[in-house]
Amino acid sequence: MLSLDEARAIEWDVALATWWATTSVLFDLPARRHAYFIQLLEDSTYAAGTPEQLAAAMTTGLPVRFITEARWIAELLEDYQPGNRVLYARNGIPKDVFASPPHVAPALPGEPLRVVLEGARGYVHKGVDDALAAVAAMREPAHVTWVSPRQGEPPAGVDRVLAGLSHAEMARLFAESHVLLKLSRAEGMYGPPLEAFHMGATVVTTPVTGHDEYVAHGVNGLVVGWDDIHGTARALDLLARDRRLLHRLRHGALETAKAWPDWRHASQRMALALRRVAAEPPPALAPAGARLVSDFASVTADAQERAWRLEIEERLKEELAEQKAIKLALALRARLTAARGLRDRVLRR
Amino acid sequence: MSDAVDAELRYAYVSPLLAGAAVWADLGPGGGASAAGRAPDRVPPAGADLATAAGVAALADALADATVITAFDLLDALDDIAPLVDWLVSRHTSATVVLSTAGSPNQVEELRRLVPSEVVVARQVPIRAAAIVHAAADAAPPLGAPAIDPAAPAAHHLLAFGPDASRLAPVSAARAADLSAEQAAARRRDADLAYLEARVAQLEA
Repeated sequence: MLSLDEARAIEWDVALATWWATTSVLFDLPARRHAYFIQLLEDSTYAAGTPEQLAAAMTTGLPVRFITEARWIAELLEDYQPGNRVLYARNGIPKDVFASPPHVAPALPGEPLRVVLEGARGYVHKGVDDALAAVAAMREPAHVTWVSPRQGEPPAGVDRVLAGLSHAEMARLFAESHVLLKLSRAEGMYGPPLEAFHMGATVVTTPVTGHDEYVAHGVNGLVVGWDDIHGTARALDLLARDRRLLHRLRHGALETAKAWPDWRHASQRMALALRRVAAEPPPALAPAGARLVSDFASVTADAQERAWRLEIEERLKEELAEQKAIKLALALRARLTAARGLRDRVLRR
Repeated sequence: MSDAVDAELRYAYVSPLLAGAAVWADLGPGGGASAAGRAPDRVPPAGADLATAAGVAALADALADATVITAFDLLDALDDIAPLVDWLVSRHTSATVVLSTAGSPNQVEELRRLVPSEVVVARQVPIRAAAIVHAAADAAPPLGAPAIDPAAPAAHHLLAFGPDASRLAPVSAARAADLSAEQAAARRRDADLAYLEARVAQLEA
C-alpha cells in the first residue's frame, strides 16, 4: 500500500477509482488510462438532494473507462455515455467460506420452514421492515432468524436475532436455512442471495436491480411484487407447505451457485478488463461532456429550488418578526430564559 | 449424438470463412472438425498449456501467419483464460477469430465486453425433431423451419471478431438419431458410474 504522495511519483498504466469520493484524486495520478470500478449507482446510498448524492451522480459523467460487476449497471452507464463501452467483471464468491454441499438435503414436511433475513431496520432501500412484516404475516409454521447489526428482542414473527456474524458464521446460518427473504429496493450485483445459494438456500426476493443477474423465478427462487407484504407472506407459506417446490428451488439455487466464479476466476476477469483498459484507446470526450452538462442542468435546478426555498423562508421570518404578537412572544421567551437561569443559580447555591 | 451434431455445426458455421482462408488455425479441442470441409493448417504446439502466458507465447509463434483462428469449447477447459483472450484480441486486425463457450449468459457477457466491439454474437440453440416415415421408403421428410424463441436458452454461444466476422451467417443441421448407439452410450455411462461409485465406496471404507 502506498500513500497518495508516493503514488503520485509513479507512472501508472491504469489508475482506477473504486468509490465516487476516490475520483477526486484519480486525475492526480500520472496514468496512461483512468478508469472507475463502479459497484452500484453510488448516489443511491445518499438521501435525495444531499451534496454527496449530487456529487456521486456526477462522477458517472467522468471521461473514464468503467468496469462494473452487474450487467444492469453496464447498460445504464452505456446509456449515460453512448460509445463508452463498459467492461463487466462479476464479483467472485469466496467458495472456501461459502463451501457448497454436493447436494441439498430435502426439507421434509414436519419441520418448520427455516427463514433467514438480514439487515438493519429503518433503511427503506434495504426493505428489512417489509421483510419483518412479511414473516409476521405468515400462517404456516416457520423458524425465522433475523441477522441484525444489533442484538435485541425478537420482533413479532422472529424466533431469534443474531448480530455480529462473521462470513463463516453467515455461511453456517445459510446452510441450516431453507430460504433467504430479501425485499431490497436498490442493490448493485446483489450478493447475499448468491451466498445463500452456495449453501443450498433459495430466495424470496423483490425484482430489485441485480436480481436478474442470477435469480430465475420458479427455477432457483421466487420473485414477489413491490410493497406486497401479504403476497410475500403467502409465497413463504407456499414454500412451507409445498416441500417439493422448496426442494426444487433449493436444488436450482445450488446449481446456479456452482456456475458462479470464485474469487480466483473473478480476479482473472478483472485483470483481463484492466488489460483491455490499458490496451484500448481512452473514451471519447464528447459523451462524457454531454453527460456532465446534463448533470449541470440537474444540479443547477436543484440549487435554484433550494435558493428559492431559502428566500421564501427568510421572507416569512422577516414578516413574522414584524408582527406585534411575535415580538411579544420573543420578549417573553427572553424573560423566561433569564428567569430559569436565575432559578438554576439559586438552586445550585 | 446431439453433442456430435452440435460440434460439427460449429465448424459448418465457419466453413465459408475457411474455404478462402490462407491459413486456418484450429485450437480445438472439441470434435466435429470434419464438417469444416478441410484440414486445419495449424494446431497448437504439442504440450503448450494455453492457460499460461508461456503456453500462449509458444502458440503465438506457431500461429503467427493464421488468418482464421477457431477455438471451440477451449475457453471452458482452461483454468485461466486471460493469456489466451489477450492474444486472440491482439490478433483481431490480422485474423478472424471465432470462439465458442458453453458458459452462462453472464460469462458470455463478460467475454463480449472484453473482445473488440464489432463482435458478432451467435447462439447455438438445440432443436428437438422427429420424423414419421414408411417402412420401406428411403425417406427424407421435410423438417420445416422451426421457430426459435429469442429467449430460448443456448447450449453454446459463439463470438466472432476480425476482418471477416461479418461474413458469418446462420446455419442449422439435422440428421436421424442413431438410437442404438445412443442407448449403448447411455448404458456404458450408467455402468461406468455404478462401477466408479462402488470403487469409491470401497476405497473410503
